[in-house]
Amino acid sequence: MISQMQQKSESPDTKGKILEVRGLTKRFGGIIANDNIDMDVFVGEIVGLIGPNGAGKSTLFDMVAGVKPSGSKRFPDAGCVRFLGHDITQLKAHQVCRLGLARTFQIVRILEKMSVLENVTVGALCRTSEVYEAEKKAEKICEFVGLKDRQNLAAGELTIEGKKRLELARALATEPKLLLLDEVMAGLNPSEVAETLDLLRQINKQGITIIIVEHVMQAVMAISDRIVVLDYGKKIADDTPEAVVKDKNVIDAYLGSEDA
Amino acid sequence: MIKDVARSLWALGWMGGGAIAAFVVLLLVAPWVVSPYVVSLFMAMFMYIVVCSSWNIISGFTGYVSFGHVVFWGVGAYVTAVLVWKFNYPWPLAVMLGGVGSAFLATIVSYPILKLTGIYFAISMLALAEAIKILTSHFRSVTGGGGGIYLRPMASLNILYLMMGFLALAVVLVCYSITHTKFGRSLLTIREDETAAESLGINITRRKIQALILSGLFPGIAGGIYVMNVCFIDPATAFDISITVNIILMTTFGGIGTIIGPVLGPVAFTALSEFLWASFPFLHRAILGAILIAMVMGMPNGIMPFMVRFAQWVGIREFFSRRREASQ
Amino acid sequence: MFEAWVTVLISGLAMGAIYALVAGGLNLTWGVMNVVNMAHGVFLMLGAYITFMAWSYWGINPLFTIFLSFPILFALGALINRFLVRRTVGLASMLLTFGIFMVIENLAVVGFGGMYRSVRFFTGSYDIMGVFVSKPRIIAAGIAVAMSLLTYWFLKKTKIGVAIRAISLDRMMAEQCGVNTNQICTITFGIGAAQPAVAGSLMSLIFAFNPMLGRVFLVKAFAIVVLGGMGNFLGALIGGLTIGLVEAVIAFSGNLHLSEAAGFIIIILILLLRPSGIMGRRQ
Ligand SMILES: Nc1ncnc2c1ncn2[C@@H]1O[C@H](COP(=O)(O)OP(=O)(O)OP(=O)(O)O)[C@@H](O)[C@H]1O
Ligand SMILES: [Mg+2]
Repeated sequence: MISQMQQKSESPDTKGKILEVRGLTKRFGGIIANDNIDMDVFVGEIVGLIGPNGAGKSTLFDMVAGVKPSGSKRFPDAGCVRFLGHDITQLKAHQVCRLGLARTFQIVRILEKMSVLENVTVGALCRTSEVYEAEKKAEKICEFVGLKDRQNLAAGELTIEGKKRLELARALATEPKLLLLDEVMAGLNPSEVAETLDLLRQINKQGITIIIVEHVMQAVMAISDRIVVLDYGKKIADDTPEAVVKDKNVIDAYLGSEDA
Repeated sequence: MIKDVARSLWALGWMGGGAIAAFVVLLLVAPWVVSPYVVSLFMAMFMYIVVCSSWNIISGFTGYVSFGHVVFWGVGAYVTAVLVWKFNYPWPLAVMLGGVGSAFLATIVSYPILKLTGIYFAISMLALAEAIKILTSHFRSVTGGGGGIYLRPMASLNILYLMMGFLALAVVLVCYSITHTKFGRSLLTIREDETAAESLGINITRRKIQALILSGLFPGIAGGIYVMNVCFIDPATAFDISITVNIILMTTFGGIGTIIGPVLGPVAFTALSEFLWASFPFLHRAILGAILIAMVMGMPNGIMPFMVRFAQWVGIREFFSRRREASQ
Repeated sequence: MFEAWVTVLISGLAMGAIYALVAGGLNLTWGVMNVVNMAHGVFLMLGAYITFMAWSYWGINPLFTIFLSFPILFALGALINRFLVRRTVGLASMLLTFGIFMVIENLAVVGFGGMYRSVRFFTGSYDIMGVFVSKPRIIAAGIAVAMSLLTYWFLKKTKIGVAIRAISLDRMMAEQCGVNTNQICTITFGIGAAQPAVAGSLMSLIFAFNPMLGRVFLVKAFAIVVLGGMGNFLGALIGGLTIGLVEAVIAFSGNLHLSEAAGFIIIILILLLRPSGIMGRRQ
């Protein structure tokens, strides 16, 4: 609570909230994947969302983005999510996407049989009804993320690095205002991580707010303005990177065990 | 969307345009050249092109394999027959209303039935067809019951043949254009990954419903034309599961999810089936069954990969022979 | 009136018991192997013909013919699985087994002819305090229930049964634990073919039939499986009894066609209202 208030006064961007999560709770049978989570994200920020495996990060993304987790109800059990002033708690993924919230999936969900360009075109079709226009835009985005030379490959033939990049490109093509990235750097080598970080900074500079889930600690620490830590579905910290690494709860739950 | 359709048709180019023109010319000329028997054979072939291409929209493009697609064809046939028989509608109008009827059926069942996926969708479509078959037998006063409906011949074979031919052409062009529009791209995305599709802003429920309606519309018209030709329909014919299986068999053979597949399949199978009827009048169903088994076991992706491989093989041989010449 | 209703209920339950046996086989292959067997109808038809031939040519008591139809169709099922079905699942298996259906049905038409046959061995009915129950129905139902329970016992108590259930829960895991899944699946498909065959043998005591007999059960058996819950071995029994009963009641109210449609309408309703309950068993 205290850290949250501090963060508000210290935050460089108090222009406005883009995302507001209140009391969000999601259960899977006996497991409480998200337990009464409150979280705010401000326009233009890059927020890191970290926590041990199974902490509920991906579930939080699902709930915010209106994605139905397999074998469960689509919507949270309690709480609400507001995005740019709209209550999006009960909206489906495609409605949320149209409002300007895009996400990538931890386990990539690329359309394997389509080409890379076609994948990105599908994203671009969110904003236009002309395939031709969408294709033009998709080409630009492929170039921007560095997939230009691979854009005619079948998406299934890409390496894991290419697939992660493609997910990012496809999300960008929907012209999001807020981007939820679920482990886009997992499985990349250090130079690829550096490249991706660069790319994310550029995206952020274009005015797109980013929430990023990541296990590559140095990467999140380097890029995030603020870090939110989940553990067993609860939020245990929400502060600047420097403060979070010193937080006792966080060290106990996560960072400590990582070092050991 | 209209721009995309126009662009896709333009992209057909001289080759595509020429092929369509050639088809139209052959279509118009055929009745003067070949016997009525061959004309009705062509008509059956066009009918299967229509239903296979339609089935391909929901099952090939969208990935919802329907095991009861005959129901749309049968309902179209029945709507047409009843309108002509009971209400004395002019037959061309009745044929069109056959399509409206089957599209209407697709509309009412679509929302609930498309919540199911995979085998469950397949089986409920199968059950739908069987249920409607029985209900048709039951409501005797409207449908003539299990004995069926006999119609007075009204339209000439050649007219109906031409209608079926142009319908087939139209459906194939629609399918072709669809793949170049946002709608078609949405369907292909749904086939690959519904969750991803939804997260990319595609209203999957709406798209699937549209796909099923479109996929139910054309078979209804084809059923109407069919019934005007044979002048008889009964529940056992109209909702025969063998027709569904033929559709699946032909489309899979030609290449499921492609434009050309649902054309290639009926062309090949009309010829084959005719040959089997003539040569093995008592065993042709068993032989078709054996072909079905062989196809599932041997070429789940249809004939196309074989043809591609064959072409490659030919190409490779050429390559080697050239090399040999060069080395000599 | 009351007696008439009791008669209807009993004959409905009797029919349901036989349905349950057909559905039990289907349920087994579906739940364990994810093979949707569209050929169960012709297995049933073959069972009926085995009984007919054994009875009419060799004068074997039709009740004993189930000791022929079970092993013969078990062997046929095992062979079909070994050479064809084993490599396919899901929708492909639906198509494949429909192909098998077409082949066997056509061969049966050629071999047996299209005319109706019947096994008139048990005739008449028992009169229990004004309630008439047809002899063949009640005898057939008794055997069908016994057979279903026997299968249930087999799955619960025997080593093979446990292996079958293990595969239905998690095939990979079962394989890891040393279950020879190929062999067990062959046995499963064998039973899945033999059960409808026994049902067919029993049915031949009640109805006249021809090689098209299987068609009637093509979809009805799915209705029962879906009603009882896919992979739920007792569910098939309960589902079968329910559908038999519903059909009998609607038919008694004077609506033969609607009673036929009942199964299909039930399947659609169940799938629509409780898809999650049924889909829950999907991996
Ligand atoms: N669809 C689901 N059905 C049932 N339980 C689920 C489902 N999705 C997630 N869970 C459970 O919810 C908890 C949170 O999972 P989640 O995937 O959100 O964690 P995470 O923080 O993303 O972990 P990771 O770092 O491994 O990606 C876990 O215990 C997981 O097992
Ligand atoms: Mg995760």
